Amino acid sequence: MENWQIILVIVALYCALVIGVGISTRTKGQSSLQDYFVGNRSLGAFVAFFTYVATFHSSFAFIGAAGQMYSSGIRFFATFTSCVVSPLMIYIIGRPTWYLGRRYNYMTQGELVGDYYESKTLRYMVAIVSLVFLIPYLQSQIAAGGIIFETITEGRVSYLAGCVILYAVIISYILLGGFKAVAWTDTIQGILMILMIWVAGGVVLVRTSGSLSWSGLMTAMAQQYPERVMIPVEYWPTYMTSFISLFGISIYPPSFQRFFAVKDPKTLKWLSVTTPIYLIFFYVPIMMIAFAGVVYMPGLERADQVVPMMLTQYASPILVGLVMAGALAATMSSTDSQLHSASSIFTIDLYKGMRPGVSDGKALFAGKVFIVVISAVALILSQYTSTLITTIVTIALGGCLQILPALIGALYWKGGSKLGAISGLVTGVAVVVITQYVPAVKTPLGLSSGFWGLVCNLLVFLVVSRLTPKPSDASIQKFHGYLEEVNRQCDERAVKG
Amino acid sequence: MRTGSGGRSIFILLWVLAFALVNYPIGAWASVRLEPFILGMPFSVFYFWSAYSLLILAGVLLAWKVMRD
Repeated sequence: MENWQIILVIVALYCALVIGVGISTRTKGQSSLQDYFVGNRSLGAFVAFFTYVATFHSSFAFIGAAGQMYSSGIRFFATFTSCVVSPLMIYIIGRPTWYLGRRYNYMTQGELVGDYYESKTLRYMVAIVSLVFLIPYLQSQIAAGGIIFETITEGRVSYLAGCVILYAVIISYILLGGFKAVAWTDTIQGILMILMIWVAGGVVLVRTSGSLSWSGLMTAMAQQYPERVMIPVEYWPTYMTSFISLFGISIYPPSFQRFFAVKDPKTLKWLSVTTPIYLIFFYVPIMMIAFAGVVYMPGLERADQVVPMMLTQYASPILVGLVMAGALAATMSSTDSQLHSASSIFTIDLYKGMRPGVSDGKALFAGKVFIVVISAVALILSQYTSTLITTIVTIALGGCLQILPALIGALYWKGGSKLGAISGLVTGVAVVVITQYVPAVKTPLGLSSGFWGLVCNLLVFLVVSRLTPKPSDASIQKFHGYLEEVNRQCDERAVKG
Repeated sequence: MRTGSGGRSIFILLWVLAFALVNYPIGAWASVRLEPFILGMPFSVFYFWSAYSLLILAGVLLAWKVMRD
């Protein structure tokens, strides 16, 4: 058996495994919307941890991150700040969201925000903004899957065929098992990802340096490529602000949906501080492979090929297959969550929002059809752009970040108004697009478009909210009154001990 | 086990200090130093792994002592 065949068999076995998970998590009889979209709000800490980190780390963590460390060294550490700070949003935004979701049966951002501001328009706008910015991310993930298949089979499985295989596997298990399938496959994928990348890092280190000690590699980096183990001073404004845009990861709809799905708020609290352990230390072996690539395989035309190229050069075909299954897992674990989340937004916010009397069965069927359609759209789009994954992802996260001010109004600030939220959202999205695509004002001061969108969004939200009517007292009481009561009870329990 | 408001402020301050370690100007100072090598890594690389580990630890303390639920 040739190497590429061994690798392909391992990847095929992995695909069969995740489809098996989809079948085993299938609900017998008719699923309810709550079951299909938020897993009956029963997600335990273990699965919640892995579904969050697997959704957070996409194929970018395997492929793109190594490419960035290969080409620009430790500048990439800037993203670590987002790996620590962004999960804090699980607590800051996720905790009140969990309480409100359980009390009023919310399953999406749009439902929660629209209800607070008493505005169907805002609900639809939040839904549409989420969907619009989910598609580029989906497209990038499917494209990454195509690249992985093409690479591991040395071109025998074409890029298009790779994308189609990924598409078919993912929609199979989502359609079968809904949120439970997504969460459990994420768990398997999360474990596979971290195990495989550490094994791969170790193997590459041993094969290139002769032992597990990285001293030789680091010394070579410092002597031959010192600029890649330092951060130039002019990069610091970008370094310090990149995490703000990446806040979007934690309020990105697939992550946000997990706030509704966990079984208790304590789980959210500990997730917010323990997930960074996985998220950051995932990059230790990535750094090893990237630095080994710099020293032993310099001058790669495409930096994001460093992981597959180094493995093909230095590891056995079985390990390459397992690691590539890990990379595929990273892609799938993000794509499935995005597809599932897009379906819940379409079904709950748009379909049921416009047809409130429709039965759960019909709504669920519409949601499943939507999964097939939107993933087909992403599949088609993936044929036109297979590079610039990072740029696309940045736009998507920066775009979704624009929902944050409206959420702050619903969860923390009684002064927010419907018009403030709408005008802030429109301004924020417009600024993201303008500062990303218009050359004359592209990412001013080197700061991301998401950052500039959020700044303008917040300003408009604050000013317009001051000048326009607030939500009704009943709505403020329903949200803020309830959350104040929850906090009071928590504090009383803490005092009692 | 949450603590009183004074204690909470200390833990929040600890987190902010840990966060400052990976930001300008302290992070910028550390990021251009290759010597000394510690645990086989240039100082800059060692510094950031250590500082981010501290930041994670500060977050765990924050959850334990400050956050509700």
